[in-house]
Amino acid sequence: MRTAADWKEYLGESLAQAMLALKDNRQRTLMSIIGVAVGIAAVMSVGIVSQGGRQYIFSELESFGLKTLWVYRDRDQKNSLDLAREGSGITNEDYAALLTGGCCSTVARFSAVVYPMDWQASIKLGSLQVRANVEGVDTEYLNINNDQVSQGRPFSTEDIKRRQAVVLIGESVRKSLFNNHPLPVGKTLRIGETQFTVIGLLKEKRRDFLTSMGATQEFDVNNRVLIPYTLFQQMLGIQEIQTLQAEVLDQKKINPGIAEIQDFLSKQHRGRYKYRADSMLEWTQTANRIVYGITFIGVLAASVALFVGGIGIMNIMSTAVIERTREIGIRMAIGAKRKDILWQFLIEAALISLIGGLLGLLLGAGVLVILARWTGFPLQADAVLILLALLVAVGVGLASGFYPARRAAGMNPVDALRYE
Amino acid sequence: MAFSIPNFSSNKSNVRPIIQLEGVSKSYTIEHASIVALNEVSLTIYPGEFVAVTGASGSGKSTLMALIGCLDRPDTGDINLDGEPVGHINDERIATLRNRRIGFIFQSFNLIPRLTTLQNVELPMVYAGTPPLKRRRHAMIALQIVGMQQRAQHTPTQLSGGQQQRVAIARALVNNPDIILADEPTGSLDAGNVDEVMKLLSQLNKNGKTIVIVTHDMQVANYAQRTLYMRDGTIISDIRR
Repeated sequence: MRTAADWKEYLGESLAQAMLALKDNRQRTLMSIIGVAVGIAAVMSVGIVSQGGRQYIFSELESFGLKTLWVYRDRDQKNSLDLAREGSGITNEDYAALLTGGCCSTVARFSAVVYPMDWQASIKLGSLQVRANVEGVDTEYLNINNDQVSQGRPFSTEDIKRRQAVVLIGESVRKSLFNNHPLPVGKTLRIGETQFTVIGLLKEKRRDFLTSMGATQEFDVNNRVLIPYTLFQQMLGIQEIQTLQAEVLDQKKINPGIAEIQDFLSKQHRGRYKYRADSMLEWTQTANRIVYGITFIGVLAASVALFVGGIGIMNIMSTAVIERTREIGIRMAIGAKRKDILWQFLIEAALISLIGGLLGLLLGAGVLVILARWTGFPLQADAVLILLALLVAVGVGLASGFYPARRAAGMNPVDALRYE
Repeated sequence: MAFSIPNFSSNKSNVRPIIQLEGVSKSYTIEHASIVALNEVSLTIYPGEFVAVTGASGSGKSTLMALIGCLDRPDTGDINLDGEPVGHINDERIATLRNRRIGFIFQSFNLIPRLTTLQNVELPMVYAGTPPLKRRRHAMIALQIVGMQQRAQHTPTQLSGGQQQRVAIARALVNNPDIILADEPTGSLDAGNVDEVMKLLSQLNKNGKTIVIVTHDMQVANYAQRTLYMRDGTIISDIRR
């Protein structure tokens, strides 16, 4: 058996050999190393971009809540009699029944969402006026939508019950109305004819990716004001809820949750209404497809580069084996086993490839710095990925060195010794 | 290195031959023509013998050497080294035999050019799995025997032909094999170095090594106690002095 010191010597000699190969067949070796380097850089970039992109996209999807669903009346029914029916199909009684249980084992929490027909309303502060999305919500709304209050406080159950004229405002609204007042809490503003006291500020949400995908339908999540749904119903003179928002216990329960709520509402109204539901499921699937698409293209590009590099290494090693035929004969004559010869050339090939791999890491790091700056994606390499890239490099070396190494190991010693 | 030198002046039925060939044939195919290199050769060599193999080029002496040295396999016939049949055993065992039992010396020295003298001499021990410190020690002893210890850190290209051949002899000795096979060891040397190398081989023989040397130089053959003459793949004379 070989000792660790032997392996060190083995590697040392192979490294020296690899350097010699570099010197002797400079162009060919360089091309192969570059091939491997490009491949490894591609592997690394793909890994990081798909990982970073995934995080980036999913953090946006999280801002809707991956376990969130929206249930509302289906108004696209073909049957004109059904369409003629008034109402949203979700009444306060339905909502109360939902909240007191008896339905929907998969659902963790509900929130009513009440909004006017065109969603938007004028918000006035003195002489300033902006259009913003107004939603009447319940206390659980913030939890369901992963909303955070960066200043002030969220709604209390008292606010809802007593129809308090209190409002939570989004970052865009704050900028429009309170630009010079970074602390709007306690200020009053008017929605329609009603005076509201600002009790809190909603933390800004980033939805660049989803907006660019057309997923947000011009709805600016930061241009939003929230008020108690009870008060909004009173202001609008209605007793119903436009959309029922719910959060299921876990992501796998989204479809069962939808079915449960739809069943419940249908029963409540004896099938008078049909309901639709949205969730982030479709978007997470789309996002996954995008990430996989990027990964696939990248892996393909990386494979091509690695293949080219591998062919180059095979070429160099084949030349080296022929040039060193006599040396192989000598080594066999003094007692090298076939596997000793095999390993000698395999290690050499792996080392050449590893040099390419290390260069590839530098190249990849450069590419990523540029990419990160260009896209604004938070791209980072982790140790696992770097290790993986180097393993791939060694693997390419071993694979492409295998054929030449096997040829070296298979030589007949007497013929090898006579080789001129 | 204390070896008892067996008495081989008479019939040695009580001593086991160290090299034994029985009806060994070998032919090569060169450009579709089959050339018989060895034709039914039988040969017995006892431990401690110093044998010279001579003959014209193409007479089969190098082939004989390659077969004894397990560098090649016979087409037919049996070869035994110290009682072990080696003609048809597996590659790994053959490599081990070459490593432990046989030391090779070649006409063109065959040192590996980018390794130092010391590394060249250590190489057989690397393949034997000898620990590094022991390796260094034994290599230095072997270099001392051939008088090359001062050149341990030189590379082959920095040495003269005679010096390179002495390093090659040190390499052949370092695993303490019983058999030294030398194929035209003086073929690339000038007269002064020939004498020196042959004296070294004679000394090794006196210390108990079995030596087989291929040469077409009769003066070199005269160092041996036994001379084989080959022609057309057969041994036509076998003379002991």
